[in-house]
Amino acid sequence: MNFGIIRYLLGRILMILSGLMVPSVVVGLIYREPFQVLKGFFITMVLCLGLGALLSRKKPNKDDFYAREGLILVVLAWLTISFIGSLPYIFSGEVSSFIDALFESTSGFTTTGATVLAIEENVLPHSLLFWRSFSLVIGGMGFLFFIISLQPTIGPRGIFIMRAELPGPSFGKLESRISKSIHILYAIYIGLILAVIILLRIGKVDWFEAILLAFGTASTGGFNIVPESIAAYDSQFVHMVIAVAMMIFGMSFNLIYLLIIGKFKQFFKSEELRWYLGIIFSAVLLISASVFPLYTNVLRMFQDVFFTTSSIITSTAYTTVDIHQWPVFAHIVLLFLMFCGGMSGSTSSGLKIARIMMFGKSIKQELRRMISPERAVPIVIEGKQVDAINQRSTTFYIITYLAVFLVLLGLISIETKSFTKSFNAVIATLNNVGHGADFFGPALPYSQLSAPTKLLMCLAMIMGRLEIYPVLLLFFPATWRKT
Amino acid sequence: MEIVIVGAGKLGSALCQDLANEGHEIVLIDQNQDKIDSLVENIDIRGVHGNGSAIEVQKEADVSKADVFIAVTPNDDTNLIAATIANRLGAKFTIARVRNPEYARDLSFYQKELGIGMLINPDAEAAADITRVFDYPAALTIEPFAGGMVDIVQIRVNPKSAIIGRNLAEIRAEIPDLLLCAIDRDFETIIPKGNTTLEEHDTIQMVGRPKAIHQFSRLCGHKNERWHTALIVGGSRIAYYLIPALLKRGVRVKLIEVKAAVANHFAINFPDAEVIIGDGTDQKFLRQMHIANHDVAITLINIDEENLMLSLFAHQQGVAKTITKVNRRELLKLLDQDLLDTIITSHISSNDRIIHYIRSREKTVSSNLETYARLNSENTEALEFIAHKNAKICRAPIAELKFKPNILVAHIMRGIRRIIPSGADQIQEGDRVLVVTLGHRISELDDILDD
Repeated sequence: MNFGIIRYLLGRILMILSGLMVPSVVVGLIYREPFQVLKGFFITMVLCLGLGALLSRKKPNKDDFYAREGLILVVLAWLTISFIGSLPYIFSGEVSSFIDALFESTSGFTTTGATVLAIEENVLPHSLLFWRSFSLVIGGMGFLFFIISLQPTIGPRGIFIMRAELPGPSFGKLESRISKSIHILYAIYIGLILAVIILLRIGKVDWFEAILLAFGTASTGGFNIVPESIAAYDSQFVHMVIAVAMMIFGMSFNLIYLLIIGKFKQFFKSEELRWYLGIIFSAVLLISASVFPLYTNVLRMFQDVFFTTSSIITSTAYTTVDIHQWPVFAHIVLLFLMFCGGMSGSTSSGLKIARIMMFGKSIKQELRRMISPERAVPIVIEGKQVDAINQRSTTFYIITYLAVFLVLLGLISIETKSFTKSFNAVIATLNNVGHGADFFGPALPYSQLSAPTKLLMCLAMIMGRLEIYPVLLLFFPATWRKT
Repeated sequence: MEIVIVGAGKLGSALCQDLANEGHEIVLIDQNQDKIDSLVENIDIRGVHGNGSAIEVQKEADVSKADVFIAVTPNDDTNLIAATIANRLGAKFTIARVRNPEYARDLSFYQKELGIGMLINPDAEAAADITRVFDYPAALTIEPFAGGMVDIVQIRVNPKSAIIGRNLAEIRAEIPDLLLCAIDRDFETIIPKGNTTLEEHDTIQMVGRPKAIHQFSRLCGHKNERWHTALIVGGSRIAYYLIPALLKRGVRVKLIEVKAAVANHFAINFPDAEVIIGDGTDQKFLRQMHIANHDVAITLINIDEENLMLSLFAHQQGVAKTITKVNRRELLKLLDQDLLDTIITSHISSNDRIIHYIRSREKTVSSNLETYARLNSENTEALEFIAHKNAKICRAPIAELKFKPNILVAHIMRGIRRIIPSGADQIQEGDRVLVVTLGHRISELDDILDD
């Protein structure tokens, strides 16, 4: 383990993080917020710069940087930024409890969108609201591999970071040089965010809210600005822009790149995409069938159902309608979507379509093998055989995921003493869904939970964002051995 | 014409034999001196020992003067390079055999960029031959003409069927849209006349509309059921081309292949086919695979004898139809013909294509040779010409023309009209005329007239 380089990179990350707070300060100045609020950012920025400079003052003697360093750096960096990100809330005096601030910050960076703050309108000043949503954007794509790509000495090995940080079991390089691939990914990300902002402006949403909504959509995090979520905007155009945008951000960025450069044939060749669209389509049909009696306007029904499907499968959890009123069957379909998540290489959370696909194919393979043991039954994705190691790791991931889910469920139930409440809390955090998951029962006011439970939920959010294993590795002794 | 052939394998040797019989001057290049010697002893050709893609060797074989250069070594790369070099050295037309499916995909590129005039793929052609059999369940073989508009279909007369003992005139009266062109009887081929009577075990080549052929095949004692399930034994290259074609027709395909890696490759490429890893020559295993439940068994193993035995076993198990790949057709004479259905020999179609091409390059006045096929391994040929304006054959109705013996005008395609000719019909300019000949070498339409 090369601790030197991890220390050095953490330092650089802190310094860059202080830079990332500048836009929030600008927002604060535009809205003429009192110095008391902006002070929170200034103190944090100075702290970040100082600590960052201290950590990265001495260059590491070795620049060994491999899978293990990559994984550990990712986890440590996420813990660090979640902590640092909470400081502006506290130093500004807007959030009194440190745990609440930490929860809010973690929920932001992990694109969960859950909140412990009372959900009345504008509980926070604009600069902090902006910061909360901006942290979604930073965490959505994963920021580390971007920072790494700027380090010339280890740039090419940023692939280890990319693998650990970009959600999903598989990723492809767009270009042969990793730094170029990363820059393309970011360009697409930022470009799409700008497009959503402009479309929302066309839909007559005011600037500040358009920006916040675009951030929430792009990162599939979905912090609600008002308690009614998107239902507050009485515009079908706005609803559809957000619904389609959420669906697009649930797609792999590599695929979006193919679409942008006009390679439509390759785009539609992606089997994961076809599964993704197929699952969305089937879910819309199934849910529509079950909510049909509740609606008089069929078009309106399809809009609501499509919005909700797109919102839940990508773990954004914006809502246009009170899902509590829907029948249980619709809830179960949504539950399945929550576990599915979006495609690998997108900003969404959950198991990822690629894994669902592989798992589905494994089941089919098993059945075929039982019927005729002599039959050759390779698992084929896009015309290529999936090797046994990949197949096994997918299966193991799903099992691990369920095991972690159960453990968290047990731990949280100690305090809540209610199955539905614990279930809601775990699914909201481990799947990075946020408040949209509250339809299984009465919503749990997270603000009333005790500090240990909130900490546990923070950990669950980071596990969900980093796909569990990196966090588990932290507790695995062999990770820390010298050789 | 002067023809250079590289590679003395099955296709190369067959080409030497056939083209030499047609009177061409052949130079054969091969790296194996013994093979050259044994061919030169039997056929009137010249041999050159060496690597066919080496420029020196090609010069020694006078490639620059060759009218046609044919590369048919077992190695695709060698064939492509040899043909490209020959093209640059001045050979007027080059032909290369390409079997690797990855190469076979981009035929037009090789033709345009490497100057290779014709690429032949025996495995793809054999697969196409097999696929056609699924159109006529009763047929042993099917040869397409007129761009697929007309087929010459071969059907066997089953024992105790209604057709036995009837003559052609009676059959023509009952099924007017049908013309019987050749009958194979006891290893001999006859071009039938109106008074020829049919016997059991005859195999008959015929031209006609699908409906007429179905009607006739019922009289021959065949049930015209469509085949729905196929069992293929042996993951050969033919299978690689055959499986997608069958799946496209809605046939359920089961492939048995003994090598796990090969079986896996097939399973990856054709997820809709059932690929079984196992020894397809093991009868117990085949029974375990429910061989009897399949309509068609197709044996594509590399050993002729195994294929034949497997097909016999499939018949015994009650499989309705067998298609057997046999490279050495002389083996067939050892077996009772009744036991075997369709026989596929992968190099024959390719051989026919090359012969067709070479004949059509010869000077033609009255007609163009459009299609050429041999109807069996003997000397029965089916040739399709387009009649030119000044062709002598257009001058009178068929009944008034004097043909050479053992020649039959089997079909006329006039625009989109299909004519099963009788004596009263007269060939016109622009007609596609299908002629069946026995023991002749015809290269233009007027050759069939007896001067």
